[in-house]
Amino acid sequence: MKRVFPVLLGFFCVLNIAFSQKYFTKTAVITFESKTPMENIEAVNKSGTCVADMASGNVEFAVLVKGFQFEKALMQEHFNENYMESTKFPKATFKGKLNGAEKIDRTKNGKHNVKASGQLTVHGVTKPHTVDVVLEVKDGKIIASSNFSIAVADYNIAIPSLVKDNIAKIVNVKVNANLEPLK
Amino acid sequence: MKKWLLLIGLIGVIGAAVGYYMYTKPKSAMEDQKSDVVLESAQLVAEFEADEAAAELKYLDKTIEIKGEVKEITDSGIILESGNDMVGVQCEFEHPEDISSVKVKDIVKIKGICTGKLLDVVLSRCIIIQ
Repeated sequence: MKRVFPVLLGFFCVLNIAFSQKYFTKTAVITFESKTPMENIEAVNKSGTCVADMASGNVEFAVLVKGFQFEKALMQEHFNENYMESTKFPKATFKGKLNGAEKIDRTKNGKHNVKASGQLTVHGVTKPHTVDVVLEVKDGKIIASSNFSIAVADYNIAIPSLVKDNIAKIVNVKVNANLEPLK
Repeated sequence: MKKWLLLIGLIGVIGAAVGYYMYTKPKSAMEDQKSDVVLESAQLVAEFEADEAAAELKYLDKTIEIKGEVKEITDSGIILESGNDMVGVQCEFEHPEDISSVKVKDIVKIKGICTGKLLDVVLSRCIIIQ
């Protein structure tokens, strides 16, 4: 009996991991691009956090605005101080649901297209947003990727007329998250 | 009269050159940046946990030199132990190859810019000092 208990405990632990519903990462990569004939601007942030519950489909995403890295110092300064006001609004978040996540067989490798709908908060403004997400099951992990665009004006971000030709009115956002089962 | 025009033209050219230089200037290397604060990971996390708004005011955008024990190595950097199981210091490196020799439990000194707190307190553009 004494020996059965630890074995049983170990078994349950393994079972728990195998059937864990929650997946998470602290190193999601978020890239955004502004493309105009005048100039292409790109910034990357590699420290996004994401928690996804594959049973309920609930997903939460957060990123620190100050963590976006630009090539040019001045652009990063303008992005933080003038457009995103990142001291006042340090985080950008998405809270919503991965529709159809519960139907995905996480024991088999494969790609699944789902829609995530929820509330996107940028620059202190919250708006409903629905995006296409590819969820790839790979050896017990889930690689989530998404590509969507945001109209800058929707989030009360004012672009001064002096640089209006250099900054796109609609910016593309790419998200890539390697989600691991939460232990 | 001609001299004046020449002078104005010259000032214009210099102005444009300075403007262009400022506009295209890359970010200064972290190696060259002076640390605003030197502290241990436990203290930084404790301050963010006690009062996030006050800690943000104190540390956001500051170059921080931090010392701590490596808890985890991630895709983009290192997470430092803080004595608090729930919150660590997440250090994102510009060049992941900088940490190829770092191991869990190592005591390291890192320099980076504080960008705020999600689950962990996050430092960006980190380099290893020691």
